[in-house]
Amino acid sequence: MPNILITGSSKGLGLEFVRGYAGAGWTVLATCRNPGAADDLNALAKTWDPIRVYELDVDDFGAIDVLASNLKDTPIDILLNNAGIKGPEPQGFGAIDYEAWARVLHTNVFAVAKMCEAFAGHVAAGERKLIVNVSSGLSSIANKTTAGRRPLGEVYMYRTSKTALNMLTRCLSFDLKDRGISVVGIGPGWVRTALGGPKAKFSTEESIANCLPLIDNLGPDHSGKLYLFDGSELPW
Amino acid sequence: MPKILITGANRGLGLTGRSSEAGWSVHACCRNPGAATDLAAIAGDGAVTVHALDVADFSAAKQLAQELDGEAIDVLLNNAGIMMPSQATFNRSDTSQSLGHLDFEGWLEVLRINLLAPAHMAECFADQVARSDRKIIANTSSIMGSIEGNDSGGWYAYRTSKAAVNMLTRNLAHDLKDRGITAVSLHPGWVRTEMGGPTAALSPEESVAGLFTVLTTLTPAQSGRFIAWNGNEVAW
Repeated sequence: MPNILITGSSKGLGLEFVRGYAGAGWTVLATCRNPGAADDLNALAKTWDPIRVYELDVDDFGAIDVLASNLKDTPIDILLNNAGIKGPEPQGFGAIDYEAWARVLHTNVFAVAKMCEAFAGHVAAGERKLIVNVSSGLSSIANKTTAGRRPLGEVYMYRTSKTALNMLTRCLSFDLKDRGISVVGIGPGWVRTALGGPKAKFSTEESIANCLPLIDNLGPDHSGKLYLFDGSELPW
Repeated sequence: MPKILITGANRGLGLTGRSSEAGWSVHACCRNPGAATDLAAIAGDGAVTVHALDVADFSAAKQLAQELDGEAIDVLLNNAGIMMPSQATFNRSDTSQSLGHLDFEGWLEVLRINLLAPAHMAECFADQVARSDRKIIANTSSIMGSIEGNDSGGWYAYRTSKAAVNMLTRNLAHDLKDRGITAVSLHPGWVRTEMGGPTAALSPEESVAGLFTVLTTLTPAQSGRFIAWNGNEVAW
């Protein structure tokens, strides 16, 4: 039975990823900041035996090291870096909160880098040897896709953090190649979550129904690239 | 007389001199003017005014903007940048940007100076730029910030900061278009400076001559682009 470690799994897309992978028979290592308050995740874990819930605040790098150490004998097939934040709004020109921006970069970029440093060995020991970073259509500087329909500007913190994440994905794809690990970015689409808001186009179920087959197909040929939920490659 | 404000002017020495020679008025900002003796010695046909400014000190930047309140600034050149706080020069033996050894505090400092500070300077000086003839905001980026061009990994902090500043440029181009402002990212080439090292391909003079030509021939149609010292467009 393959396994997957998913960060930020108490709500939104993370929770739906947990449901999707558990339903497909995977063992799911589901991390979230506060398992005590993660009612939906706990309910899922009661239904599906192979869901294991771990407390992890990805901004706490000491805690990442501890979890990696506790799981040191557990090979991990897929590391899904899903945890992410948008930052406070408004965050357009003239309204930028620089300390908040630094926090967004910490969660969306540094924490992913730290997770990859801490879990590269686990992933190298797995069968799938895949790291998936959840990016966004809004990360595309070229902005030539329908996913980037939201006008440029507006969300400076979020956009720049996801562009930086794309560069991180690209760097990791080269630095982890020797260990057989592929690293790929995905844009799950504009989804009705706390982050996407109520007006978003897709339900979490719809997004995950697209993302699971996409992730199934990812391998070395896709490493260092960014794909939308529909399988199309997104220009940087 | 056109006017340019250059941050990190002790490094962008050449451009201060070139602008002054061409009869431009220059606000040359650097952290420690006392130590920038070369800067003080520059006198072309234009006027060079040296200001003490650490771009990461946001209240100081705001104060300078207030001091220059009534001015028209044709070009805001966000040139100040760092590779890594521990790394004044291009040092391949420094591992602080290598996977497994990432220095996250240093990385944040790189993002503060290379990404947040240019955004803050743009917020502070947009009025002065909007009231000028040329209306240009130029962010010094680097080919190392090209995600497409990254074919070797490493340099996580520097690369992510420059990729993210390219997204900032695109956002600024979008948001400031109504005010007639042209925003671009610049790739100065690999230059034999303290940061570029002695084996770099270009002399500072070649780079500076090219960049000055790019800046003085920019058209609004080029806003939101990533342009190299020789006028070529660089891939995101």
